[in-house]
Amino acid sequence: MRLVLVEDDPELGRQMTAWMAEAGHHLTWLEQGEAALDWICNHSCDAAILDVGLPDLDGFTVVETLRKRGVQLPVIFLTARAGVPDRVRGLAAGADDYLTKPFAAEELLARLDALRRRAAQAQSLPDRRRVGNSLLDPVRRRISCGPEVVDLQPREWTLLEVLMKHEGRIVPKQFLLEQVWDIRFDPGTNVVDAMICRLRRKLESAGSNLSIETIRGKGYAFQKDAV
Amino acid sequence: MPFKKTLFDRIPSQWRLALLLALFVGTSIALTLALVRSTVSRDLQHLNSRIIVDDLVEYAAIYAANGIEGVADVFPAGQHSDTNGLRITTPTGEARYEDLPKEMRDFSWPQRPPANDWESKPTLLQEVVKEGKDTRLTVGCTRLHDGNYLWFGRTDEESRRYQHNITIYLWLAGILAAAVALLPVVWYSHEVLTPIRAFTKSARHLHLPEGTARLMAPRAIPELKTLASVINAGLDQILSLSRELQGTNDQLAHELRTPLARIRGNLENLLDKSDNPEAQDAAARSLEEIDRAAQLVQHILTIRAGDHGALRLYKQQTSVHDLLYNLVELFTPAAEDRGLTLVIKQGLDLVLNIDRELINQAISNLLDNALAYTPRGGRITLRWQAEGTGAVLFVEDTGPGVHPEEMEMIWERYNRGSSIFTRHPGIGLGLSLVRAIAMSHGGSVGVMNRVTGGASFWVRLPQG
Repeated sequence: MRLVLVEDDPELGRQMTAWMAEAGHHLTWLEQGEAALDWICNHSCDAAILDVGLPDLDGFTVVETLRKRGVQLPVIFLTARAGVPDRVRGLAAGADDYLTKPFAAEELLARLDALRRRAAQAQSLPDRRRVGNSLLDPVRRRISCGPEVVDLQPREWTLLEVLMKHEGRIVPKQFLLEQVWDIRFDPGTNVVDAMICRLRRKLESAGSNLSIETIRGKGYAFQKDAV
Repeated sequence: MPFKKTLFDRIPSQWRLALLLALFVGTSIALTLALVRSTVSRDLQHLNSRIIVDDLVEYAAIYAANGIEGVADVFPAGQHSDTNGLRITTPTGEARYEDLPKEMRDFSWPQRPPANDWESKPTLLQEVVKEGKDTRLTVGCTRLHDGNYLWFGRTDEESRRYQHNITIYLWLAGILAAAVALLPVVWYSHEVLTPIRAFTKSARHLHLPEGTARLMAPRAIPELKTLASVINAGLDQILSLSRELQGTNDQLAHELRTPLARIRGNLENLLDKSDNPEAQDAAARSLEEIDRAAQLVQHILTIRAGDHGALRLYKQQTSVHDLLYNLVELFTPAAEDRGLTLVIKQGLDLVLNIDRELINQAISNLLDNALAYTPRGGRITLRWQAEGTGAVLFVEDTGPGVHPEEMEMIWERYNRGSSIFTRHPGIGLGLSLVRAIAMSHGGSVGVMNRVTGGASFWVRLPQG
């Protein structure tokens, strides 16, 4: 993806430039709101990552101006303000997503992924499909590997879907909480871990070669060819 | 000692005022009446005696000039009332002339003239009473020049009539005074009570977020207006302080979160780039700590803002059932891993206007606590019930419960109950956060120990 980052903190800018390069994205880093407006209007790119607290124009104003000019570029806000009213304000200004500092690199990547899917009108998943050695039936939320069949709870199914969508990538816990349970805070108890363990057990019991790996300090990764 | 309300304290103030005024007016009238009656009755008695003495002298003169015939001519002509009677008797008491009105005949007139030194005291007055009759007869006696005696009697009938009239007029005046005395009550309820009620009404809106509501009483008396403006000035100050606090919070959040983000980024790089498992482990652990620290900062800011009514809420119509059901779904695997049963007790579904995410967070905190402190094999129940237009949400466990002395304290920042063993890290902000969130919604929190064992934490929320 071609991305533009507008961030006045040099350290964060440097880190993100490195991450995006590693993830195979092409990132242009700008430090000022005005400059960003000019750049975005004269260049084409796939998404913008915008810090809310910029020295000249704040992020909200930048997005509002862009939207007024008819620029439909997907925008993710980066902000130090975690309150729901702030998030609502950001989304109302015309942003597509909202990420609170401090955040994990994987979190940003997962969100960019989700944005790209949305922009591509999210290819609708087929009713029944085969992943690895398993046959997935989303209507009955059932996974079958040959004779073995296992039924999933609605949330377990959503969890699996989210993980599959980001196959080969690390999905952070916070991203899962938001996508699966619509929760934007850490509920404390190891709720996600417990749910992942349960899903993992179910997949194993069905003899599926789909697996979910826990990556310490980062999150979870879906793989379909584990032994 | 608890303040005990007496019956008088429970009466509305305008009735109290009316009661006091009525008592005052009543006592005044009663005193005036008693005083006036005794004075007037004494005066009328004197007057009566003087009239009797005057008439005795007058008729004695007529008798001296014209004899019995003269008296007989003059007396009936001069009689304008039936309250006077006249007799002329011999010294032995035989009647020579008698003209008594009907009522006076019932009285037993003295039979004989009283023993008296008539030279030094020419007239003598006697009181005659009759059993079963209120009226008194005063009889005057004088010795005539021929040795006969002249008797003149007069009842106090007329005095009594005067007194009666005076009493009636006094009562009328009293009733009028009482009516006038009601004017202060009317004034009080109109000029004082109505503004106070208006204050109460506007004060109900004071706890609302942003707190821009002010005491309003455009027609109040000056003293109340002063009170309102003093309170309003205080409220203005609180508002500006809470706005300042909000600003500081935002700034603090920014100042802390940005460096945390930088550190986090570097740690992630360390974790990604290092081949040393120990370094990786250290980095992973540090990442968890950073996330915890970021959440801690957020909690402290939320609690601070919530305690000062400066927490910005994003309220939405939210179904209590859906909210709790989602949380049960979220926590069930974790609860089962701990050998606990997590159930939701169905109630009538309610829709509240609340900040869904914050309330979610509050109940999550209570669930988190319950999971941590309930021993294996226990049961955690989520239930709710309507209260007024709002609701009370309960999180009940079968854990050790809360020590009665700590039921208030555990909601304070940084406090952990002693029955609560430190199984997981954190500094005990959870319950303060729950309370701050409930309070910012105009609600409240509490805990009680259940009879069957375990604690029942509740969050009371108004409709919104």
